[in-house]
Amino acid sequence: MVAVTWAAAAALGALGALARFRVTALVSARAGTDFPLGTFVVNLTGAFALGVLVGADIGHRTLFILGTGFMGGYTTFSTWMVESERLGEAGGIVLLAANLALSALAGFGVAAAGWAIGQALA
Amino acid sequence: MAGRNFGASIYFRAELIQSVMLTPSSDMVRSVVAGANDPDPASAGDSLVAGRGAVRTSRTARMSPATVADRATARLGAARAQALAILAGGTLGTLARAGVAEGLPHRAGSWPWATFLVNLGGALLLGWLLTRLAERVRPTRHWRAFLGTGFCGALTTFSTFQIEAFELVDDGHAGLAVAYVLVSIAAGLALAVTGVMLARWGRHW
Repeated sequence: MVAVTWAAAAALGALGALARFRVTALVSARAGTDFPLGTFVVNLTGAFALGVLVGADIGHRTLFILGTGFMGGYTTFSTWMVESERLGEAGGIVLLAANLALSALAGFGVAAAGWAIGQALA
Repeated sequence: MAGRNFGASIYFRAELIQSVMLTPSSDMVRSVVAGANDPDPASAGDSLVAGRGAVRTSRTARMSPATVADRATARLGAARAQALAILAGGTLGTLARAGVAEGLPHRAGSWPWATFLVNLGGALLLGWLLTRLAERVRPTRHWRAFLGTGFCGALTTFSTFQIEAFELVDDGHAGLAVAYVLVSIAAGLALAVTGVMLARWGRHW
């Protein structure tokens, strides 16, 4: 793949990371709960959007830039895991399990829904 | 909050473990609080360098990453310097993930090794990093933004993880999809815990 494609994906991945930071801060400021809602919102919106992109069959190069680049930088697996660890450490075993199960199930659901919408749009 | 204390040490900073959430806002509050209570503000430089060899102050004082970061902060303002740290880490994390994805292409109906490996590596690194920054070293301004929010956040991905699971189901490999999701979560959590424990046990790292 050409260098400009990689540069575009890297730049959008960086912007995705910054967008994640801003959205997380915004959601956490309003949520006022022990549940890590910021990461939850980021990951579900990102999974939905990537579902639409993949479903719409936008081509390998565009998908690499928007999907691997932006959506990959925007969503995060590591923060989801470490926040779950923190919930468990604070004694919230139920919250830990809920954080894992809700994200996994809802994430799959919105990715599938996004994919179906993308297919309909294509 | 009843946090278990693995391996108590003189570096352990109990006052910093008040916040469970990993939100940017609580981090900033924590940094401010910690900075105000710091008995030795002159040495509140970069922790990763200081932690490796606190005795080497004359060498690290020369031009540590913290010095660079502090100068950038002075010039740009804290919020913009923090955004730049996230962008820089995000660029490197995205390139690393895309590189692994290109190196280990994912064939339809097979285990998505690339995403699996970057997600697990990122969970281990972030568990170690955030615990070390919160509990074992002096508070810093930019390492968390650069390596945590930027690099680890961009290195790992939730959206690709889910769309891969969906595509496995769509291709008629529902069992593999369930295994992929369950193993990713179980191993990811185990590695995050491992990272946290390594940060509490390690004396020099």
